[in-house]
This record gives sequence, C-alpha cells and structure tokens, in this order.
Amino acid sequence: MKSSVARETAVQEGHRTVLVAEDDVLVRLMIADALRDQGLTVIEAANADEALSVLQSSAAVSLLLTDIQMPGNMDGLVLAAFVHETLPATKVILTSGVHPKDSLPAAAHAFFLKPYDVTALVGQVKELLTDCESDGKRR
Amino acid sequence: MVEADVLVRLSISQYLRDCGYRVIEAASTDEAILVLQDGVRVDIVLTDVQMPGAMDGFGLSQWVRSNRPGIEVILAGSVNRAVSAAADLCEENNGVLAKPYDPQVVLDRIRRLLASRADRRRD
Repeated sequence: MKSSVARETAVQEGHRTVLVAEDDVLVRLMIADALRDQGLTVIEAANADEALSVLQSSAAVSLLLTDIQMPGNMDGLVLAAFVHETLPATKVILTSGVHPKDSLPAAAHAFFLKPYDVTALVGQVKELLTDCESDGKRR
Repeated sequence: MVEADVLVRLSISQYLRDCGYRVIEAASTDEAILVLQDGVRVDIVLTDVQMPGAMDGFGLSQWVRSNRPGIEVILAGSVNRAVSAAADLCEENNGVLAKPYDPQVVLDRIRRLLASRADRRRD
C-alpha cells in the first residue's frame, strides 16, 4: 500500500483521478460519464463509507466530488473534513440539493447546488485539477 | 458491474474500461434495477450472487430475464452453489464466475458471451 507521502506526491504530479461520492446512481453515472469523456479517471462511490474505503486504500485521488446528504455512517461534510485533515493536496467539491446554511466549510473548494449544470461542474473540476498540478510544480 | 465491495468493483471495472468496455457500476441490486429501468443500454450484467438488501444476484438475474430478456447475465460467487442454482438463469458454460475475480477470466467470459450472442443473432 502506498504511503500517504507517496499518494500526496502522486496527486501533485498531476494524476487526474476524481472520486465521485453520490448515492443517486443515475446522477453518479451521468457525472462519471461526463468526467471520463474529459479523459479523467473516475472512481465511483455510492456513499461516504465507500468513499472512505477508497481514500484509505492506495488510490491517489486528486479531487473528491461528494454529495452532502448520503445514507450511511457519515455524510459528505464529514468525508470532506477527513480529506482536508489527512489528504490536504486533494481538492473537494461539495454538492447538495439544499444551500448550505453557513459559509462554505474550509474543507471545500467549491459548492454546486443540485440539480447542477454538468458542464459547469466539469469545468470546475478541470480548473481545480489544474490547480493541483500547479501546486505540485511549485513544491 | 453489480458488486457491494467498492474496492473489488473499482478494480474489475477499471480493468474492463482499460480493455475498452463501457462499465456501469452498481453497488446494489436496487441500483442495478434503477439503471436498467432507465433504459440505459446494457449488454451484460455481471453480478455477485451475495448482495445486501432484499434482492440477491439470483433475484436480479430473474428480474433481468423477465424485464430485459436481451441482456446476458454472469453470476459470480461460490461456483458450486451458483452452478447448481443458476443453470436456468445464465447461458450454459458462460454464466458463472468464481470469486475472487481473476480479471483475465472475467474478460474472457465477457468476450465469449458477446461472441456467442453475436453468433445466435446471425443464425
């Protein structure tokens, strides 16, 4: 299993892998297809527990796109906080059908209200991944 | 690809995508049925026999047979149990896979199943 340092390096070197955590399978399929059409590697998780299993494995995830409300032991906000604490090089986009009551948590780089414009979301993913590569080159 | 273990699902799905297939992932039989009911084009359903929830892989196979009869089904699991119980649900010799998955075996089965289906359509 890759060490956390090795994974952070992989993220910074521009490995373009997006982890999509979304419990609505048709929404998950739609966004995963749209991201794969852009040449990205997409890992799909049906809930935050699955996403956590992926993040704790050797997969080098450059960006987490997660819905907030999902069934299971944790929601997208807790998942985003985990990434913020343990995988700081990994960007996070939150989605929800409800506007957040407070300002965007520090763990998130962007928020999309559902139903979202897929083209706009894909554009934001690509922009954040470009930032990942820039962050890596500056180190 | 219907599989409740995300790391197994991820591994086999990515392998099949690298081989050129479009792979739709379902974490449960409920998700699989939602996809199939949506009319998404599916040629093969590869499903674990043991799935959490009200419907297992056998139930899903029966659902596919009743509602989307043109779709081939591959069941995966304990081979002895799957073979004896699934003989009428899958094409003979092609329908059952042993777990843990061997990616090359999965690929060979898919290729054989699609080739077999193409031959049947020509006849």
